Amino acid sequence: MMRYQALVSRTVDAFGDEIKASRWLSLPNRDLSGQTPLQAVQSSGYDLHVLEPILTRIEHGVDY
Amino acid sequence: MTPEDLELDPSFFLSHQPLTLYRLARARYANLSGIGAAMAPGRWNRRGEEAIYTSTEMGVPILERLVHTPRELIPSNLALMKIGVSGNWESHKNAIIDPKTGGCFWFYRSLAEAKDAFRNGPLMFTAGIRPFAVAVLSVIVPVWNAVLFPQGIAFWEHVSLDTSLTTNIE
Repeated sequence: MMRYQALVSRTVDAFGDEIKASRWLSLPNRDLSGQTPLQAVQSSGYDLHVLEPILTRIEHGVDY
Repeated sequence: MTPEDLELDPSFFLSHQPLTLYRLARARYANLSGIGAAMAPGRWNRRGEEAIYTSTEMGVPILERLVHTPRELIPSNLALMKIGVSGNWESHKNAIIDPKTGGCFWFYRSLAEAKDAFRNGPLMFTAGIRPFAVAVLSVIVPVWNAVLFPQGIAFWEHVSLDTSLTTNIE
């Protein structure tokens, strides 16, 4: 439960919005070979590092 | 014609002086550190190389984001930064160079040229002269983008962030 909360907290922090964070977590992501971010984290044993590069690019505007 | 076939004219950079570049980033990171791209590199830098991804057109950073992200997933905490680039430039075939500072703004006229260069080594060491900026074509529109390298020669003498012009967007 704590690890799930950490995931939500990190994602909300990145998107600045709970609804956007929740949608992002549940939509297929091309940077994760089509997995959703939630699936990727779950299959890694809730290792948030699998999402960190993607969230960092979003936050820092590394878009191309 | 695809972006791969395009070739832009670098005289753009001499006719648009001082140059304004635009970057979309979280307001908290609306600075010139380049640390985000060092941790999570994009197309034109490598891990550990500080870099700032910008465009010469205000709308393009938003467009680059929308190509990969549905509009409803654009974060609520972004800022559009305006970054100034100025110098006393001499024009060269593939660059403008300020002879006083040694600062170099390098151009790759086509995506193919930039990709070749990147395959052969980091763009921040282009031609062995550590340019503080490298211009590359946008992959999605015929517009110059520019990757800034804070570790490049004379970066801080030529690049400035006008915080009064940083705009929060929703």
